[in-house]
Amino acid sequence: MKQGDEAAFKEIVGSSQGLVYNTALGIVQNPEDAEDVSQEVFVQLYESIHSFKGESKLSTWLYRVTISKAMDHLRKKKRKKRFAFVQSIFGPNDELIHDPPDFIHPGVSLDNKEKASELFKAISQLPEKQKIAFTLNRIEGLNYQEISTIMQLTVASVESLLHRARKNLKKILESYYLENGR
Amino acid sequence: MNSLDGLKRAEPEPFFYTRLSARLMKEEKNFWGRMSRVITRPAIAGLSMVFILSINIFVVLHHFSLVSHLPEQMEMAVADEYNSTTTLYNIDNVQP
Repeated sequence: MKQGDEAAFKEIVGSSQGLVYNTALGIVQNPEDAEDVSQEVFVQLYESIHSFKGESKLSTWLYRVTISKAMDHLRKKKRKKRFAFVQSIFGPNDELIHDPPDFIHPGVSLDNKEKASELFKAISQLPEKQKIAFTLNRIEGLNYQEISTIMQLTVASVESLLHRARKNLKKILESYYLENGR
Repeated sequence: MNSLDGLKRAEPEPFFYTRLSARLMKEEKNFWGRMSRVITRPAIAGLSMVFILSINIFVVLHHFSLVSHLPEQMEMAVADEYNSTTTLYNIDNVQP
């Protein structure tokens, strides 16, 4: 791969595009954005393969870069929204700002789609680290040890993050159901 | 939270690699893309920083050495000026 073998790169993309895309999708909750992030990850892989020291597994590297780019993407989007809001105060704003429709993960079973959509809305409100840990655990199906390697935290810290994430999600979902009278 | 049980991994739209290749080719052709890849290499970025810092240090040190020699240089300049001008009056040798 380091010798710039295109066939090898294609094989790596083929075998890991699901990992990258699914992780990105769990965080950005938008298929077009997830595709964008996924492409950026593989572009970075292509450019930096020569400096890849091989100290960690490729999958660990992919997870880390995907998370980093997905979070950057979210922050950029938030800034754009804030700027557009400020612009709308001071003058005519031609750009339509609308809330995207509820996110439905394509891998969710049919009978769970509605509840999953509400859960994903709640996930998007979690603090960053909790969101990442929860996404890796529940959407990518990674165990605590794997998550701790990716996030460079101790297993105990990962446990604590996930515990707090579940607590926060319960709180958010409870208040949502109360508001909507369910 | 059980709604995520049995969740299947999402895959990108078909022909992902084709779109990725197109993007890679576009980035290759883009001059600024290539430049950013070169200048963001750690070794090059580090060397550039060291180079710029060295120039700054040299300029600062040079400025301070000029400033410290300024009084002497001014004295010499004034002395030169007074010595070189022809005097109409020579006090020591006043002749009618």
